[in-house]
Amino acid sequence: MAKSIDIGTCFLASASRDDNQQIQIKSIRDAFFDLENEPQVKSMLTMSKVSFIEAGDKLYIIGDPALVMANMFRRELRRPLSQGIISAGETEAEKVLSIMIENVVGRAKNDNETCFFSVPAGAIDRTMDIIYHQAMFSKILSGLGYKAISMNEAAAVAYSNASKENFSALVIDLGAGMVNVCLIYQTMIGMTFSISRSGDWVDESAARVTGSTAGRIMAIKEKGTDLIDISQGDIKTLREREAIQVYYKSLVMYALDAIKNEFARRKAGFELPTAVPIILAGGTSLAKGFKEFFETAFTSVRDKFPFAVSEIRMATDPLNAVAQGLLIAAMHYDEGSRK
Amino acid sequence: MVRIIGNSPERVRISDLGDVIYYKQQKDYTDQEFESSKDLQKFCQQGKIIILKRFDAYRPTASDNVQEPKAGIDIHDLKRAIREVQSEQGGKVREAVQEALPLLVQVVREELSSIKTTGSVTTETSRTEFMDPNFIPDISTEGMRGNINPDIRNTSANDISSNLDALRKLTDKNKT
Repeated sequence: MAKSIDIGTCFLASASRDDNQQIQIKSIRDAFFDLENEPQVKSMLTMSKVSFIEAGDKLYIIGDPALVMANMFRRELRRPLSQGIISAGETEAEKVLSIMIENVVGRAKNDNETCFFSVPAGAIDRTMDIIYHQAMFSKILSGLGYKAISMNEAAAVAYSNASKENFSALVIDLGAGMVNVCLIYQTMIGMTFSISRSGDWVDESAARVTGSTAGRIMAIKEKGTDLIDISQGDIKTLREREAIQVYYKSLVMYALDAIKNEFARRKAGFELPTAVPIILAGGTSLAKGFKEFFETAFTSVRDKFPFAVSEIRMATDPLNAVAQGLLIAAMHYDEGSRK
Repeated sequence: MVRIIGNSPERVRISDLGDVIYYKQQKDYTDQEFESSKDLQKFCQQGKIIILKRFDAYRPTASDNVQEPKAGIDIHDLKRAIREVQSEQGGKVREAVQEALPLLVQVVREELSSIKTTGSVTTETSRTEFMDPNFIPDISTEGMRGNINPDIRNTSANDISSNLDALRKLTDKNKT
């Protein structure tokens, strides 16, 4: 049975079809926080059903509770992935990630069970090695018994959200580490690239100017910062929310400029016969009012935009759109292999 | 130009370009070839081939210390010529030529590169940009015990099924 896993900087999310023909999504925040391994701490974590990994004299708290602990201790959260890819040589993080993946996707039940996994596109604004990243996850998934196949993460969103346009769309997947862009026409990728700033960049930049930590900014952001009406919310965090709004605007304009420039640079390659929708996905797009915020920014560049856009819409399930799209691709691949 | 690498243990036949890609074999295609080839696009989607990079073809400048090609050899001309000869063969001979063709082209390409011949040969011919997962050191998680409870959510399979159905229809339409 085909499976998929979206390996994101902020979340790991797997998708599979269970025996009742339901789609099961398993997800966990891709973050950890280390503590000394003491019996009382371990017992407390077990009783409160907090996810953790025990490794000798250390305990690694996994997922959302790690974010809470990091904020409590005013320490930065540890993340196995940075800006969309795994850092070569971070062996401790690789081990934690390996165990997390096993728990999210499980072991293959049959020989050569297919598992599609997400990979980012090459970045246009920094040197980025996705070769190691791809090989690492291929190895981890193969070790779990899967036939591991990689797929561009933004293209996967089109598989789960653009069927009515025959899988044609401009997907902007705003993850934590990077923004992945894919212009896809009837499943054929016309242009794909990534930019190395996204939600984490917003958090870090806002933290820098407000004297806070990125983890705290992330928590404020996820509590429901309204990008259209920033005055909504606790007065104590107004300054942080203002900073979040400023950097969101900068991020959206940066992404739109990048799309225009990349399209112009590759102009010989393709021409779209019809208008396509812009589909917004990823955790960073979940901020309240993001679609309207994006539309306002897009209005200012619409005249100069290189192709016609039919509408701007959010993915049905922005956080799991990649995992679902990968699952569709995996199931389709399996059907093709059986023929 | 688009540089790709074979990622399937079985050879991948690019019928609409009359080409074959072997496991771990790197090949360069012009943007036009790549965009117009449905097979290349399809196998990219399936992960049987992987795009390593997009780049501009090398164009020598006056400052480049290169030799002019004696007979204007271009790797694409050479491939075309070999295909013409190949099409004149029949049966097993044809199969044999077809088998040898990609490797032969690669050898010739390396030879051309080493003598700094100009043309559409690219500047970076020897960099290996594919990493076999077997080269990744084993990640030992011995002694580590996970007690992880991921969030689990069940959703209706309707959306997935209808998207899959649309994908099947598109695939069938493209086939016909």
